[in-house]
Amino acid sequence: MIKYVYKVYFPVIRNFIVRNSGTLNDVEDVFQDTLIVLFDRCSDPAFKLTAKLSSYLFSVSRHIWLQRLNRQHGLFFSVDYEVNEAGSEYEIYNPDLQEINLARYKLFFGHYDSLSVECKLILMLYANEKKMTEIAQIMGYADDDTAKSRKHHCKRLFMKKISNDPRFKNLIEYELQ
Amino acid sequence: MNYNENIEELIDRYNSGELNESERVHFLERLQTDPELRVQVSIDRAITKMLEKKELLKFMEKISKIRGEDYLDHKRPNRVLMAASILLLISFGLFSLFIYKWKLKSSQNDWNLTWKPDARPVNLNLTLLDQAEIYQRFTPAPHGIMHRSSFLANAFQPLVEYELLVGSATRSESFQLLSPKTRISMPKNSVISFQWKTATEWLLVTLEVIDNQGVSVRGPVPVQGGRYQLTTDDLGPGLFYWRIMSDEGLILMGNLILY
Repeated sequence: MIKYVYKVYFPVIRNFIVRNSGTLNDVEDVFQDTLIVLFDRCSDPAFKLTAKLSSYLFSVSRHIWLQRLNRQHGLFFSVDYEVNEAGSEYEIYNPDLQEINLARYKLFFGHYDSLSVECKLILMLYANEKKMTEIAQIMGYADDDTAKSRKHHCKRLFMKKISNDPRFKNLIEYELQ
Repeated sequence: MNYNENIEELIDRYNSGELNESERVHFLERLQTDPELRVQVSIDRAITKMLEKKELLKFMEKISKIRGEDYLDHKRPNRVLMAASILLLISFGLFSLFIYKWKLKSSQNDWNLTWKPDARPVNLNLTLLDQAEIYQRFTPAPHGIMHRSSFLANAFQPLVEYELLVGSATRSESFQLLSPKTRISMPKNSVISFQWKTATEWLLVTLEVIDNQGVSVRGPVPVQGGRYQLTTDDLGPGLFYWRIMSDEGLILMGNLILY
């Protein structure tokens, strides 16, 4: 299904971004972000897609792209929503999914994805409030202490990867401005 | 600031609100003077927030794989090639129309047919049903309805925690599984032959079978020598996970569908 969405809607977004000073790499980034926003919105039972999916995706992509231009180049575009049909304008309601947070989220995910399967799983279990005893049981560790020390190791590694990433420093600097 | 375990634990406890009053005051004072600690606290908070969203993580894994695929062909279409293709299509269409009309004319006397182009409009927009389907597929079933997984019988629903580990040797790289594959489907009552090689010939491991609720249904059985025959006559149809462990922890996990 994701592939279908890519096949049908990706070219439309590509045309828009490439025409507005974006590279093909930007297009992929923005389209991924758009799908994340769509996924997040669909997780909310109150969310109803009242317009065509194409209008929704286009509107979110444009919003993200203009915000990114603002952040990266200091260009201040007004996010104008030209309304082609009723209900086609969308905000990105969730503040977690504002452009800068999406960028940070994806950066974190990239480093998370590069961890070993063991580390990924321990961190996910821990973040989802599993007790050390349960983690030890799932991972087949001898005791809680082993689980705890593995968790420490994995978290330290993860945080180190993030802290050393120059993109992260840029994001932090932008936020502090 | 040296990032050591104590600090990590303090940050952890601070972000989970587990510090007592005096620890909290002390930590806050330190936060005010140590910008690096502030960054670490903010990273810790952000990664916990990210990891809590299991469904979103799974989704991101999927889309990050799609990104590298070939069909996202970024090459701009070659205009000459496009024009040539359109011309070819038009010629083909006209030729087909000519043949069709010619055949129709020759058979009109017998069958009294009149030529009509296909009147159905080609609707390139998504129908409401398509949109509903997309919506359902993207929605992680808040109440267990309308989601793809809800159509699976309970016994076959994957357990996310274990599913992530399937096929990955996480501890011992010298372990080599010869049979079965890490994902297999077998009829109920089959006997599954496990065989593996290890660097140490007589390494003692345990084999355990767990159902899709995370409950152990067999073992852990100690195995030495790299062979084990797993009988499944007492296991119902459903999805199971098997794992091979050594003293140090998990070596390999696989799944098994009995139907």
